[in-house]
Amino acid sequence: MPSGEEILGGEVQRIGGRTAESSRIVHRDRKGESVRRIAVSSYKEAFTEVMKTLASESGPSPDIFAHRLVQGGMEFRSNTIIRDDDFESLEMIKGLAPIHNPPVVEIIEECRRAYPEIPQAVVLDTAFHSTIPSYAYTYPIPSDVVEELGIRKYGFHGISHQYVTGETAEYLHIPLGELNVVSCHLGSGGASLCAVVGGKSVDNTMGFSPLQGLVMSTRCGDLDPALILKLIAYSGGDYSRVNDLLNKKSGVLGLSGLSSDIRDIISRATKTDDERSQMTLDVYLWRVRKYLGAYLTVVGSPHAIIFTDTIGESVPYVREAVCRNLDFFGVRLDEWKNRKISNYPADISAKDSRVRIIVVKTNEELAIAKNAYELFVSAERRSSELEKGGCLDEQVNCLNS
Amino acid sequence: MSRLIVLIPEGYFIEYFVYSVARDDEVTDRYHGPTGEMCKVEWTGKIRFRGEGLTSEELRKLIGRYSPEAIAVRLLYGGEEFKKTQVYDRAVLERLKSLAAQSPLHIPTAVRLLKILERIVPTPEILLFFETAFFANLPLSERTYAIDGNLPDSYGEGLGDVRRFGYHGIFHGALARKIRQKGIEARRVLSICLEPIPEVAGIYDGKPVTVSSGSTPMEGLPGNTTCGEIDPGIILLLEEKKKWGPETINEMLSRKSGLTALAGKNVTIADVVLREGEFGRARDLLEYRLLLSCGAAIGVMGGFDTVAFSGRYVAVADRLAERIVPKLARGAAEPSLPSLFFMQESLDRLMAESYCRSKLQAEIIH
Repeated sequence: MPSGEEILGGEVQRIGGRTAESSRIVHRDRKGESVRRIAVSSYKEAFTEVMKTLASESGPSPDIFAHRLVQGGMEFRSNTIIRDDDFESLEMIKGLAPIHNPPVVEIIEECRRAYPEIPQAVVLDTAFHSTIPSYAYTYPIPSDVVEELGIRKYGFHGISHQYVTGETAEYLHIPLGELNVVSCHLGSGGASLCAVVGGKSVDNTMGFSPLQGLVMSTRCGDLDPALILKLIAYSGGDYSRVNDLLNKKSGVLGLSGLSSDIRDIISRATKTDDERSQMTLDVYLWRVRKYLGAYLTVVGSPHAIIFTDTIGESVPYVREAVCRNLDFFGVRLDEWKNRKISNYPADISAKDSRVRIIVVKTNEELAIAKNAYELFVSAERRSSELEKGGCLDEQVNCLNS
Repeated sequence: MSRLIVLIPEGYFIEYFVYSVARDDEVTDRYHGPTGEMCKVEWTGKIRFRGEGLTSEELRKLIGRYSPEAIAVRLLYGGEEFKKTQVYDRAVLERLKSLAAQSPLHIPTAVRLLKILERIVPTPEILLFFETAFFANLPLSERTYAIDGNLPDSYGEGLGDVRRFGYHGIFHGALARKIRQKGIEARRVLSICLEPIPEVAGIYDGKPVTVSSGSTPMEGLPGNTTCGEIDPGIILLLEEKKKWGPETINEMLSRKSGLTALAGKNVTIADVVLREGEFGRARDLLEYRLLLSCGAAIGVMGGFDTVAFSGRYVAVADRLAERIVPKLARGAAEPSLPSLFFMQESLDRLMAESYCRSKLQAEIIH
């Protein structure tokens, strides 16, 4: 992609439901940030308001809309330009990620209505993980159920893992196709580790859903299947209560009883002698260490461990604790470098560390833009080939429509 | 010569093993004797449960025929209540009963068995071996689930202790002891137990610091017919889409999953390892999951010195070791092949040996 520079950016906050504060648009341009308070009750409306804001900036109009799709199921397995007959599939995948997918579909539909001439792309959080081998994505349960319900490991945070892996390859001057890393996406909400061999994802701690794996802000991560069945039985078959418990009341929040943000817990655990906070922190870090050990073993000869997203980028304590006592793998962190990061990407490994430890600022928006650009360019190329008399490609239809 | 009977209750039957053990006055000599063998198995068999479950008739015959000086019973679950081998008495029975809700399949059967034994044989000593005992003091960060700390209160008392255990503690514990006894330099042991539900434990300085199983043996590695660790979201999905209740899901995950689901017919770990051409998919998955579990243990132990195998499928362990161990070592900054240890003893023999040792120790104290 040409420059990869952000021209304008921003976000709409507090959409919909009545909260203490009204909804607002935070708008960023080269001069800085401005906030416009405005009531928006739906994602569709939020999109309309954003487009109004952009029009008033008299900047260039978009060539393509790119949407992030957290879970594309069996219908959307790779990044794609949306065709007319994809809209039915979009309806069907709403339920796969009930919090994330419906707003995306709503906005895609509004884009088509208001700007029928502008093509749209979906960039998938699961696409990077399509290279996970079958022994790692298969759940050993009866195959009729697996096939009927599309049960497999999809993996998540793929856009971020892919982006930071690419940045690291560039930073270390190693061709992407040769790079082996363990990427730690530690967010303030969700978190996952990704094993990368030859620039491709070979495993991710999240699974069929974003519930599996690490201890997250309110999600439980790994849990004994029998314990879940017991919880369902003990709650009198109240499936939604258990669902709510595992998704919204577990993780750091459930353990600590205080906060869902591990940063609050770190500050309490290190500044007071609150045992529950200490325990919460220990469980959180222990789980990361287990998966880091597992993935360093799977990757075999890693070039680097990557830390990214809110916690991974900004909490030196976590990086230090996770990398402690990993001499076996040739991992040594430089404490001073770890605490004094001024530029990203930053190499915080000690001189004699065989494995580099790189802190990368993730940029999912840029990664989505890059992916959409590639789709756009290849579709354009195919379109011009078509004009020269090449074969018909359905993908081109919406570009020409 | 005196006798010991080892009882291993399984789902619908009890396996028994009659051992001849050295007499009290022989035990010291035999222990240090040339063969080193403290006990010898004389007879084994199975008592199948009839329609109404376990009855006393066959046990009475068995005990009448061999008049043992002691009976050793294997129990799958002892919770936080039982942290070591326990001599049975009435108070122990009461403590055991209090665990019934936590392990509803095993504890009631065990209680019934013990009550029958007590009636038949008031004199011989009954010893209880708990599979979970070795793991009772797992580190807090390993045994704690990231769920609501007050869960048992809000879901009712019966939920009991919600924490992780290991379920092959007799194997792992004996293995840790044997490694120490043989003077093998190994602070950090990867202990791989090859049973129908396999289990990996990381043992540091003789104590377990991590284990693949969870609050039940269902979590962790896939087994002959058990699913192992799966995404919690899958269970919620099955409930939602198939409208299946917990029993139906449990039946599927514990009896129709694992290697059997992958192979498309009933198989064991041994089949999968030995007939790789036929069950390649199952073998690849088993090996990969073993690799992940071992890697996790390496992560928290900061490395490993020995890889040790045990369990009823230990005969195929060398084939498995050939394929897995080089992969475990390749992550190392200074790759060197770790030492390997294969413990051939069966579960009943380990229990019998443990009984003999406790006798010996009692002798020394006297």
